[in-house]
Amino acid sequence: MGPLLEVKELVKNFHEGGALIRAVNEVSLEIYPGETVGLVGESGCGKTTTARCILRLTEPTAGHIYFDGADLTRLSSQEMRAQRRHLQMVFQDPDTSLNPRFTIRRTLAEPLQLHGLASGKGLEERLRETMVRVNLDPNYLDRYPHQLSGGQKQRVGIARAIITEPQFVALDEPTSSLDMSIRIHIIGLLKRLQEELGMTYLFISHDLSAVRNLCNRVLVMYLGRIVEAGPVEEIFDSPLHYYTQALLSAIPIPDPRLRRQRILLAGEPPSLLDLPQGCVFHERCPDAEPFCHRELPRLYDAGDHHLVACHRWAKR
Amino acid sequence: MSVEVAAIQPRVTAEEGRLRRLWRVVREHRMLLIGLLILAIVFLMTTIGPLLLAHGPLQTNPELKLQPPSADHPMGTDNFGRDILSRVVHGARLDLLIAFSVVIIALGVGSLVGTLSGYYGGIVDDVVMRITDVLFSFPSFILAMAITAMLGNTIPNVIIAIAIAYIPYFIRLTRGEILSARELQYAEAARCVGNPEWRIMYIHLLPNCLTPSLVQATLCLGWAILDASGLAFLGLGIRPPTPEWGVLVSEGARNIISGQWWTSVFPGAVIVFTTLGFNLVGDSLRDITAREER
Amino acid sequence: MVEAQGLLRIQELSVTFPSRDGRVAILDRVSFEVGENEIVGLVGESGSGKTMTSLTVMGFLPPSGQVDGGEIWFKGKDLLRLTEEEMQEVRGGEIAMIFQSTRSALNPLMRVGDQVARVYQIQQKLSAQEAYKEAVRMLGRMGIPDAEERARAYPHQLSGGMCQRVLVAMMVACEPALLIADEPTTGLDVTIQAQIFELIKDVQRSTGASILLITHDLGVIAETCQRVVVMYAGQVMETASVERLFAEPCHPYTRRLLESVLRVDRVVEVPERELTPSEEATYSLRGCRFAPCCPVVLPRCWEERPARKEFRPDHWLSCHQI
Repeated sequence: MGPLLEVKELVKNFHEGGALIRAVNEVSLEIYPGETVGLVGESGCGKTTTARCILRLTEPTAGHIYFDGADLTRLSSQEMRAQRRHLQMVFQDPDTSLNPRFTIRRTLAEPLQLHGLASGKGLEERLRETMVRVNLDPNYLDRYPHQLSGGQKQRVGIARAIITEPQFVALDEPTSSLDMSIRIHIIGLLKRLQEELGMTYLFISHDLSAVRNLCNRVLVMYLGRIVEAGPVEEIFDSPLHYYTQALLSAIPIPDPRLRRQRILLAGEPPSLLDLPQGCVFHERCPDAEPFCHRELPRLYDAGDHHLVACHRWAKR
Repeated sequence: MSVEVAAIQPRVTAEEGRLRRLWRVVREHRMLLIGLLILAIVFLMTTIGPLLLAHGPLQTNPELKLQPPSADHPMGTDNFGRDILSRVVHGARLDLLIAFSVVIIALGVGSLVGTLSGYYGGIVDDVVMRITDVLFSFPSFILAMAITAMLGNTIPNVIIAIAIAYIPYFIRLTRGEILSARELQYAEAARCVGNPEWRIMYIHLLPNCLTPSLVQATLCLGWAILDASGLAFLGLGIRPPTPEWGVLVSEGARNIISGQWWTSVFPGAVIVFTTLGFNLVGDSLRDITAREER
Repeated sequence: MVEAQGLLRIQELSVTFPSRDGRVAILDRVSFEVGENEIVGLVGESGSGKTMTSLTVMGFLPPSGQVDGGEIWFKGKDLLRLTEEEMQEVRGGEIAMIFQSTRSALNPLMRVGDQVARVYQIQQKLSAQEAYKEAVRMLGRMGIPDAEERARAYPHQLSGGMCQRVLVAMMVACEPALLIADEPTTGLDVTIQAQIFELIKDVQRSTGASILLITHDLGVIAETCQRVVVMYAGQVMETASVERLFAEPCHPYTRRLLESVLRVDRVVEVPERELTPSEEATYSLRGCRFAPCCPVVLPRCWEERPARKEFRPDHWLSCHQI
């Protein structure tokens, strides 16, 4: 079975006051139906921009995005709007992702109405059903966002994304603004919804513990490129790229018995305005060789579906 | 320091009933209260006034001309023997009609254009901004004068002329709000869900961006009365015998030297009174909304 | 060994704020200690009162807040009884604090070197020249590369991580006995967060100051702190050493918290019930505020606030269950 989503050589550049920012630099990936793929990295790595390009919330500078066979980059805005019932997104900040003047009912009904999926009594039932699915009291339908807590607002955001029963949902840091004790419940909810509705997820986050608990495959991004990719256990238990190793070791584990040796990266990431030549990571890499400065590494196969963009794994 | 700690005010205290909050706000702002009171009086004057009047506004009575204020004519009579009180009350209707029409047109056109300009940016924005720059370079009264002179002296033309002078204000205010609102996630979410651009602009963003415009609209109501009266005083726009406050002031102006002050002073005072009402309400609203946003 | 007096001792501190029905106790008889030469973590979810506690210690309570009881003992003085002038002496030189929003804590119009130098001038009474030299040296110690050059930069020219190092430099320059760090890495990248926490640990080791670290992240607590204070809805639930708390959490809330934490090293089971109390119901309770969500709640929990008992050496608990 072919991939549900295929991204080929995606490029996104921004122009800020005359300078060129290469936010996404030839990113390619495939997502198969039913998968949950995690896209991780720190600020400025391009993961959110990649997701926004996939959904065409921003126009890609170059590259193609194939969804269920169709090239999204070639669709007219009307055709794209029709496709949107199949491609949805859960946004990061529950405080600003809901229109403050809309009741919850209006926010949730809108996607159904725009795509002509329900009306009248059927609409009402669908709304109540969806509220229950995300563990919200259906009576909250008549409330306004400011009357709900952060966790509840985020559930509304999830409800809005799933109400058209899309095939693909991109989730942009859905747990980052939530309390620790709520995060796990949102993750649990997302898992359950995926099973119930047969959706495919792209989970974007810098919260690696959430990624560990939800995803089956992980892509690590750094400065606009994918530097490592593989199944979640592979990436978390045996990370191969130095950046991935540093990233994982930086995350504190809630267990004082496991005092680990931290891998501290030297310095700070270079600015997107001034990308280094060759491997984007070589300036901070402890094992860098002159070759790394000259040549950009591809994603080399390290076995077990594990790919690394590092010359140490180039085929000898 | 206070900025930081204000941000962590416990949520438990935030919720207060809408009506109670409204009442507290009104109570705390004397100016607002006074302004509303003034407007209430004016409003009563326009609605109930005509029913209580003893005389009509166009009823001439040559033998009673230029009578000082008395029981029968509380504001005196003018040089045609007409009851000034009656003319003031009927003038109120006209002036308020003009004021509200002006503001509705200016607010309507201004916010529609401002939304387009702020949302799309680029060439559309540039063109609109240059046009508003041109309009702003004239004092609004002069602009209104020029347009009235061009179009002719009728009530609709006066309304259009003044509205055109005010439209740039609303374009600027709306555009400013839209520029920041369009970066918010709910605008992106609206697109993501499948909204066409026009819905994102006018159904999602604009309603959230109207507050500064509404405050400005209140102030413009007062300005419109001044502008309309001013035009009439100068002989542009509304002409006698139509009772309009500016017309009344103009008619009565020549009598001041000969001592019949009431013909001009009463209409003038009513203009000031009403405009004061709108200004007090508008300024208070501006203070209140600015504070809430912090 | 139990520290009898400790460096900072907060005792039965209650702080109220106005609300729709009178005043509500945002802090309800909070008690805990910070000893000499240790890092104590204050952990709780948003709204638990941890920031409010630190603000009260520093005397930065917002105008509508009122201290309704309790004492804050610091080096033999009750901070709540001091005048504003006396508090100004304490702030900086004795107790220093860094806040969450890094950039707004720095003066945008002043070069960072000058800002750190200012601290030396005020606190250590150094001359302008000496102060600036010390400032550059301190920035270097904080791990800022090319300190000489960076000292001439303005805050907006530096990254979030750099700004936070500048703030830590300013804090350390005060040579305080107690440092309060309130979520010092909010908004910073994960790898930078790790650097900042290593820096904080280094600072503690080299200066011997005590640190009160406020955070909602249990991982940070486990890796950085020696002792932990757990707060919920303005009440302290449990206080213990880090090893003890994670190995044998005794308070039902602590247990629930530890169960629901996501980890990087393994997949965690989602706990059955979710904690969703109504805020008003919680804050108006006379008894233990965790009662509405507590899996082992007793009738008396609702009415009677459990006293803080040291039920094991240096392990304090506020719960009727023991």
